Amino acid sequence: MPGMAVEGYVVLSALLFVIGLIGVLVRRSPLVMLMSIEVMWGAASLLFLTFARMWAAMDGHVFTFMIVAVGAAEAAVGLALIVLIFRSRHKADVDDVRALRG
Amino acid sequence: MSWVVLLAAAVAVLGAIGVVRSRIPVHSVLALVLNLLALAALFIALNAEFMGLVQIIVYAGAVMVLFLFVVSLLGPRREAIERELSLLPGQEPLGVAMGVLFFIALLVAVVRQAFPAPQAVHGGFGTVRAFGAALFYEHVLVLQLAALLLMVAVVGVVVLIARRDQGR
Amino acid sequence: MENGYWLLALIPGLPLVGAAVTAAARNRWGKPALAGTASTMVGLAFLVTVAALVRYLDLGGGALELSLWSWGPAGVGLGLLGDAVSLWFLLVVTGVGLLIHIYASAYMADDPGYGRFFAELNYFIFAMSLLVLADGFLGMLIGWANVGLASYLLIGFWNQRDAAAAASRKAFWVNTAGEVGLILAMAIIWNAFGSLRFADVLPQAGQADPEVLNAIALLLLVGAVAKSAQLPLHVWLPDAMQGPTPVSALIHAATMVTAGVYLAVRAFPLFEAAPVGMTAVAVVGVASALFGAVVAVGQNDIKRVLAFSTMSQVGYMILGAGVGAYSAALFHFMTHAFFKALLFLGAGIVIHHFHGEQDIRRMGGLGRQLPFAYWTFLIGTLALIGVPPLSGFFSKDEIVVALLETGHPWLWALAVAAAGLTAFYMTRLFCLVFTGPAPNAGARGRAAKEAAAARETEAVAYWNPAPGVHPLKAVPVLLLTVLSAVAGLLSVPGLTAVPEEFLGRVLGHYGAVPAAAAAVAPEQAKTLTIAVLLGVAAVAMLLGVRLYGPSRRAAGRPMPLEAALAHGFYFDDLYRAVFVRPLRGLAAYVGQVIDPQVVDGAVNGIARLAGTLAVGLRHLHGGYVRRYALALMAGTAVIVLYFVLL
Repeated sequence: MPGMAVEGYVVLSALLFVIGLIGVLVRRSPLVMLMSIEVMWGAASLLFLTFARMWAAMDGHVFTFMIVAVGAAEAAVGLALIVLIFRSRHKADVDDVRALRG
Repeated sequence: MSWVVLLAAAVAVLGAIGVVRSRIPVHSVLALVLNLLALAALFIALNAEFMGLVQIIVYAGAVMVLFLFVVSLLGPRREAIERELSLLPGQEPLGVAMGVLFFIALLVAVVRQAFPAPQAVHGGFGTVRAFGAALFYEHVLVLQLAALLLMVAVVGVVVLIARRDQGR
Repeated sequence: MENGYWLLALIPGLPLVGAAVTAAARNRWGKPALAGTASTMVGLAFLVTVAALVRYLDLGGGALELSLWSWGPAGVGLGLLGDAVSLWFLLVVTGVGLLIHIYASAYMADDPGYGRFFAELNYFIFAMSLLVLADGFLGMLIGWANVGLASYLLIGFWNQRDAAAAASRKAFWVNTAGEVGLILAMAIIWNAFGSLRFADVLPQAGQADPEVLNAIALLLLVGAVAKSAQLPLHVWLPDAMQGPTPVSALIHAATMVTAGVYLAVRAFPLFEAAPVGMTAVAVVGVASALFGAVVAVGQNDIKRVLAFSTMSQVGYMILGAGVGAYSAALFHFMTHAFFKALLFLGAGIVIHHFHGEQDIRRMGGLGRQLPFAYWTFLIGTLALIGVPPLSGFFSKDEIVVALLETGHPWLWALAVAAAGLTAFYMTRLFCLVFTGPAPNAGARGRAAKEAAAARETEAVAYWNPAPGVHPLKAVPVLLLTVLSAVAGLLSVPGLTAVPEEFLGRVLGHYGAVPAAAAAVAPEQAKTLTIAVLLGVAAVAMLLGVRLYGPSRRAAGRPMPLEAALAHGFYFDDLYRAVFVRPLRGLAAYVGQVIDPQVVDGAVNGIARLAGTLAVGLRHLHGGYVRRYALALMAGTAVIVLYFVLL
């Protein structure tokens, strides 16, 4: 395995994922939350490519491609929503958006 | 173990932390770009040359430009809301604690799992040719789905953003 | 065995359609159309019954069958079974039912609930024919319960009267108690035999555990006793006379009260296999026969006399079933249906003549005013008493003879005593109503009587066999008189044995119960029984005529035990003390103490608990997406840890 052992890549991926997760949980700015999600996408991509290399199979690459497409679409829609929220409230705090309240 | 890979891994982690920690949105975006570039280096180290390039072109290029647009649209200043009192007491420490717990769980899972030695790869693994063969011969449906998804996203964004009163 | 004989479905189906149509059109159609529709449906059902009978006779053996619906494993479902027993019952139900429909079309002419009455009457015919046609206990129970409902509706037909409403409630409660017994019996049958169909259960009745069979037989008997107004669940029948007289004739004399007889005969293998089954049936039967006859002596309401008489006569049928004389019991059922319906319809004419007066002490001298009623009622009375050659003689005689043949001298003696009492109370009833001086009606009464007579004869311009009686009332009464007179000829000892041969296809000849060693030889038994019965009846009738005839020797004198007799030996008061009052008290206690404190307390407590919980849980559901994400992630972490560590 080039660079380091498989375990190293997997742990790195887990670390990146958890950092992104903490970002989603801790930050209140939807923009930063969206970026944290991008970090999580990247962690998932890294994991897929690691195992693709491990098994010497190209399917992981195809999945990563799919992740890139989904990530791009998600970013586009998410940013559009942020713009909408700003337009109506002039500030963006996810805690203000409470339509889910029962 | 190559020092390039270790450096890239360190940069990726630092970039991710920078995304989460920085108070200024533009700094977050730049940290994310750093994170994505480091990831691209790791991809290439994993013989995924094409995906590494896609990562740079699509993410670090196109998507990050999109983020920057939005940041500049909303005003690149520090967001005032982050200084207000949080409505959710204990959300921050709890979130971090849970994240650490989750990481420990994943770590234990990785340690307990014995990974097989990586298999040898042929010369063309991860190149555009190999990727194209996999995508167009074996996973055509994925391509179609990706295309459909992007189109739905584009239409959705247009519908969301378009002002209702602009037609008048 | 002929399957899929679809005509069978028409027998309950036509009256059901009739009930629906008349109920829907009761406020739109005229009275002739309503009565015509209802009567036509019953008449068609009667014709179909006759057709089915012809087909059944052609078949030789086996029965007509039609499966309507089946569910799951065999044994549950609804099917129709036309064999000798059910066709025998159907002939009476639809035949007498038709006659009473016709009678009622004139009798009820002034009633505002005309259409409702015929809808309910048709509904009763539907339920009763379903009861006797069902091929298993399940279908029978459905018919059974529907019959109870029809009875409830018709007893309470004049629902603005408190007494009628109370009587209908009472009948419904008692019948429901019987249904509980029936349902429990069905549960045990299902458990023991794995089926509820007669064809599956009855042939293997003897294979079950004797204790189980005892339980089944006694619970079935509870159902039969409640429906047939036998001791000790007879209390609803006298009160049921609050219903219109045609209802009393059809439901509470001719057909419904004999459902218990049907059950005892239909399920006879179960009763025979159960060690105590037959004895219990016979004891209940003879007790009811005697009790009804004794109480009937002390009653002064014409319909209540007939009601206790019905109880007594159904007791004879149950008694017959209890000693294995099934065909005799069913033969008595048929003749009783004829003459008791005749007596009730005659009583209806009498009551109309006296403008709703039902107390026989205030009647009299009707023989000269209404000769038609006099003669028909006389035939009915003599048939009930058992005077040869009228029908009651042959059928009652057959049952009583069977008692001696199967070696039950005590039952025989009691049955003979009941027959003597029957002769006495019927003579008393007849003499008080039709002989002696006419009651002193005031001027108002006389004017009303003349108006009624004018109305009765109004419709009579073309032909009238009975002056003073509406022809639509007279014709059914006349037909029933003829039937009461000649039906006995179906089974003249030594000459004809139609019921025994016909019903024997299903029941076998009685003899399944081994005759006791002391049993009298058949010929001796017959001679002895006939002689004794006739002698007792003659003495009782003579006594009755002497006491209550034209001279009215006993009219003013108090009868021994008068109060006890008039109150039916205080059964009502007993039940009121034992069941009604404690239940009322319990209900009051529940209503005043348990309900506000325990039930409401529990309900309010639950509400408070929910409120408290909601206040606490509200924070979990605040709509903060990040809280949701945190909870989601915490859950995921725990799950991952669980799988990793364990």
